[in-house]
This record gives sequence, C-alpha cells and structure tokens, in this order.
Amino acid sequence: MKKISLYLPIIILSLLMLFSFGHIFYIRNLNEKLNQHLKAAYSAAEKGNYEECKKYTDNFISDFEKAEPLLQMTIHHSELDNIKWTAERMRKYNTPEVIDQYLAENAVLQKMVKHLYTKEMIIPQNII
Amino acid sequence: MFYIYPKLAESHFDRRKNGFRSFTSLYVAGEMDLIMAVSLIRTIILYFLIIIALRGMGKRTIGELQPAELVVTILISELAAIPMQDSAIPIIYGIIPILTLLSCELLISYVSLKNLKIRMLLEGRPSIIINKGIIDQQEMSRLRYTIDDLTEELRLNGVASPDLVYTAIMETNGKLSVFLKSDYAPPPANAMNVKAEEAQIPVSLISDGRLITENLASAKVTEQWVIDELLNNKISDIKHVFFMCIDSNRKTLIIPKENYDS
Repeated sequence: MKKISLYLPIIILSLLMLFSFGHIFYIRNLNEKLNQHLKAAYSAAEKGNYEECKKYTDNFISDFEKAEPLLQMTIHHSELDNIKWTAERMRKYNTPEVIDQYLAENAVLQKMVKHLYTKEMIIPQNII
Repeated sequence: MFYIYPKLAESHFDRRKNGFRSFTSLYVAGEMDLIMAVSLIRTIILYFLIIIALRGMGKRTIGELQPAELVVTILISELAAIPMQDSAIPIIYGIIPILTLLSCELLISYVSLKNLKIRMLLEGRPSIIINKGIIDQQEMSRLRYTIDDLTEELRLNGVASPDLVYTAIMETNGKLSVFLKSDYAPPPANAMNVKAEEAQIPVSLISDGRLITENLASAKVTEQWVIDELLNNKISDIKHVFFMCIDSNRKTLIIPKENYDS
C-alpha cells in the first residue's frame, strides 16, 4: 500500500501503452484489408469489369462501416467523415461514363485509408 | 454545411427531399440536443477525470505547487478543454495525455521522494536572500528577484523593513521564509519562564445543522451529551445550530442559525 505511488503510475502507463500498441496493430490490419478491396476495385474498374468493381466497393464500405464505431473513439471524426463521403461519391461514379472520376476517388481513398495508419506509426516524423 | 455526426447528417440529407431543413428546425425537432448532450456527458467525464488527476497529484494548493507541478496542472486543464469543446475530437485524445501526465507526475514524485539528488534537480534548492542580516545581492540577481519583490514579500510576512530580518530564505515553491533578528522577534514562552500549554485544535461537532458523528469519538462526547448541551443553551434541535465545536477544556462554542428563534 505504501508503494501505491510507484505501482499505480506503472500500471496506468502499461495499460496506456497496451492500448496504444493494440490500436496501432488494429489500424494496420484494417488499413491492409481496406486497401486490398480498393486496389481490387481499382484494377477491376480499369479493366471495365463494373460488376466486380461494385462488389469490391461494397465490401470496402461494409468493412469500413463495421470498423467505424471503434474508429470514432480513436480517430478524429472529420477524417472518418471524409472517407465515408468519398466512398459514397466513388460508388456513384462506378459507370462507364465517369469511370475516370471513379479511379481518381479510389486513389484518394487509398491515400486517406493509408493515412489512418501512417499517422499512428511510431516514426520520427510523427513524433516531431 | 459541416456535420459533426454522420447520423445527424444523414437524417438531414434524407429530409432534403422534402425541402431543406435549417439548424433551427433541427433544434426544434430535438436532434440538435444530441450534440449538446454529448458535450454535457463529455464535460462530466472530463470533470471527474481532472478531479481524480489533481487529487492523485496530492493535497498541495496552487500557492504551494512546485514549478513542474504547476505546469502539469495547467496542462491537464488545457488538455481536458480541447475534447470538451470540440465533439469531433475523440475524448480519448484528452484522456490518454492526462493519464500519462498524472502517471509521470506520480513517478517523478516517488523518485524525488527516494532520491535527494533527483529532488534537487527537479525542485531546485532554497536560496538564502538575507544571511545574518545582510542582503545577498548576487543571489537576488541570480534569482532575478528585485528589491521591490523582497520588500513586498517582507510586508506580506508582517515585517516593515529588511533591517529587522536576520535570515530570509526563498523556498522552492517561491515563498519567502522570514526569521527576524533576536531583538525584534517575539520571545518564546520558555525565555520568560512561562509555562505555556500546547495549542489544541477545537473539534467541530455540528456543521450547518448536521451532527458530525465521526468527530464524537475524538472529542470524547456522545450524541446525547451534545443534545443535552444544546438544551442547556435553550436549543431544542441540532438542525437549529449553524456551528458547534468543543475544545480540549470541554468548553463549547455554539452558533445558532440566524433564522432560529430560541
């Protein structure tokens, strides 16, 4: 009991580090999963396979929506809103007439999703 | 238009088919209350977190804080204010830094408690400003402490002039400890061969109409004794007493409430 001022901060810091590393790990996996959908959708759109492109786009949106409640607790909401709205726009552009816009939105989304992870990475650029 | 919550934004967009709805109409419909309720809940959570953090740091008051502690206290309040004001920022952005600062502060306190060198490094050392009645101007210059600061602190200590002071020490918390020259210092009781009793702190028994039961044992009285004492003073109920205390000689002080007629 006398050493509570020693043990308590160590326990708190350990829990915070566990939470932070767990969060980084989760974001990294999510980033890989979401970017796989986006890349598959991108290549399908390039080949003119709109059905497959729609399937991958829907998979991306569905996986993102599943992760969103947890992300809202840890990521700035404006970043998540941007991804959500860009994804909605991208879905609408999945037609032969505006496929260039689809590809552009897809590329932007890939960067946005990657940024979710890169800004959490423990690298000097983020720390400084 | 900027939306804090996607659900709120969706409901707003869905209704645009039937015409654009202003924020005023959202407020009337009660949807705006969601944002306010979130702010309210966040503020309550962060308020309790700040209380826990500050209590965890110890019982020292603002005037007694070391420089590092003062910085941490200001930082904690600043960190809590950010997610409190902006609902788009996750509350965890405030909680993690606050808990980290609290933990670091507790660790540093523990280490400085155990290690004198680290304590000196973190808290500094007291500085003697007046030594044997002579003002150390070099030390004052090092501390960037002016003669006006010194005379002001002396006045706050009830000392009119620096020439009455034998020793003045600038403590690590920024307060000045003043020891008068023996000619001007009040003599202690033993110097006058007087047998002085140690001062005893009176024990509060009733505060604002409520009996403080946990103090009864230390005052060596019972609830019945308190009631009898009140009856002796023509007060029929504890609720009619504003304050009651007892000293070591069992002398009581009873202050009835203003609106009470005995």
